[in-house]
Amino acid sequence: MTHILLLLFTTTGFALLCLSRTRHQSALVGRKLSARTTRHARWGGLLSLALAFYVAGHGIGWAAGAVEWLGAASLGALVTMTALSIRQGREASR
Amino acid sequence: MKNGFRQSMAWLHTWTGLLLGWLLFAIFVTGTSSYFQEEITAWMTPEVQGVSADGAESYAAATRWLAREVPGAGEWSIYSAGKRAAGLQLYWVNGPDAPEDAPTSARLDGAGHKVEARDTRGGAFLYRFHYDLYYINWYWARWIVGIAAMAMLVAILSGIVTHKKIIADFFLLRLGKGQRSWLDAHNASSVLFLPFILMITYTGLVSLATHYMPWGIAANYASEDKFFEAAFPWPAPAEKAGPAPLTAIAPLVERAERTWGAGAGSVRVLNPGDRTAQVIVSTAPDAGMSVRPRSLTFDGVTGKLVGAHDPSGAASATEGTMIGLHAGRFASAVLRTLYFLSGLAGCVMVGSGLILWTVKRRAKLADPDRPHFGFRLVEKLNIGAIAGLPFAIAAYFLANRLLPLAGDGRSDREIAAFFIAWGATFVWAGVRPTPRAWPEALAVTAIAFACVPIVNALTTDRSLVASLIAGDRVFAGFDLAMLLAAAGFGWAASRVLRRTAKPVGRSAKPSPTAAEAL
Repeated sequence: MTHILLLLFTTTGFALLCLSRTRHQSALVGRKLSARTTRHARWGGLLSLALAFYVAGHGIGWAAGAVEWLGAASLGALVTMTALSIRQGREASR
Repeated sequence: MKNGFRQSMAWLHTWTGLLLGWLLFAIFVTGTSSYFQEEITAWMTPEVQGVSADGAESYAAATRWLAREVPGAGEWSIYSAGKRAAGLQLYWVNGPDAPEDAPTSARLDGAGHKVEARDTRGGAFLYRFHYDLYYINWYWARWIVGIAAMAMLVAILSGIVTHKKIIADFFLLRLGKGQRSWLDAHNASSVLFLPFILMITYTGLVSLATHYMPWGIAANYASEDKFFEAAFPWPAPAEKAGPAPLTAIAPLVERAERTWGAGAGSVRVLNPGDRTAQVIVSTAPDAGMSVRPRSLTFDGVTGKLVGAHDPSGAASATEGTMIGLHAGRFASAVLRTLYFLSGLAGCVMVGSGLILWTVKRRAKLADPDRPHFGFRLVEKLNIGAIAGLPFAIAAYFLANRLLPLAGDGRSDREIAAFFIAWGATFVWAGVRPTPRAWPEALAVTAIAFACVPIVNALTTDRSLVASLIAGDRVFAGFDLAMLLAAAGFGWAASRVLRRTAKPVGRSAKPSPTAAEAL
């Protein structure tokens, strides 16, 4: 359960960080987001990554948890990047 | 500096990466496979069955077996195969009355019965290869691997400087765009997995630090042996003093496990059956993050605790923990999988970097149909390294199932199959035109991986279906991983084939070589 929650939080974190980049917004949601929403996405993303760290440390132990947090963060970023790449490919072929 | 800092870093990145890239790729692939070393060994010894038994009782059963079979031995060592694999590995030192060629080791299954497993090095071969190589002296091999790891560290740091937009391009992966895509894949695999890649390179150097920098030891100890004696004590049996029954082992193991709050990984008995007997219980490799085991020494007759070894000094704990981070023996199943995926990302980083070297230079060639010798050499070596090494691993697994079980030197022939397959890929790459050699080598690798579960089903009674029904995670997982590898290489081969078959639209552009189409 801890592992799934951890992966969920890191993926959400990077997805929100990705959403906070103006160059990716139209590929992800089809339009540019307001400056306010962009800011919220950025802080939400960072908060989600911090939460993930807490989940890992609390559930697994702070030593092994920190290692697993880094691994899960890499995987979360990879999932986000792959999703973005697929959406961009679809947009380009449209 | 005429060209500026970033350009000189780019130059450094390109050339350190290229020169040692082929070796680094082999180190990364075999090292990544070592996260499942126990599983590979379990799969390669299908005779060993059953689940791992209860720790303390299985050690006691092993000492009973040893007392029955080799009562005169001067010392016994019992190693657990690990939580993830069944069985125990026993070693002993024969007494003076035993014949010269008497056996000194045996393998017990989870139930404590002796098994005649096939002669194989299993996952240990791939593990040892990733820092000791093979066919050359380990002393020089470690220097070569160390130079490669140092080059890797230089390539990573200069790569970070060279990469202009780490943050801006963080999520960028544009597929199907030739050179652009290769650069994106190279960047993504290294940037997203940078914590792992930096850690693994640095801690890899640390794990052989006493080899590369012996001066600290030289300044403080009379000899290297004296240092290893002090840092990693390995007591020898005392002079025998007369027979006395050996105390029960299970309570000692249980007491040790209670003391540590962690599992035992090995039991060593010195002078069993003598008044001077000692029992040394050590922690399992997954007992903590540090790889340095703790141990308790008991009197072998009375069972009293007579000594404890806990390498928890600051320097020793730092070193042990760094190596522990590298080897990941403490890792749970989930973290182990993350380690493995991160290792694969490292392989992708090195492989894509090697291919990128040719992709970037192809456009600038004077005559793309007749590239100069250096360019052709890099292309051929890329095929031999990137497709050849995975093919060699598949051949190693196939040889394990197909070589006759009887006969001396069976494990050596398995390893020979590995190097013959690897060498054959280089020869194939050398004689075939490059655009053909790429899809051919990738397709053969895919077929070889696909054959592994099939051959396993034909030669043992532990096929994928049987393993799935029996709920055997190790065997089912191994076969499924082989099928996944086959699918991956098959996909790569078909992609390369489709791109090279398709006529290139813009005639002015040189036709991309097979791999660049990926």
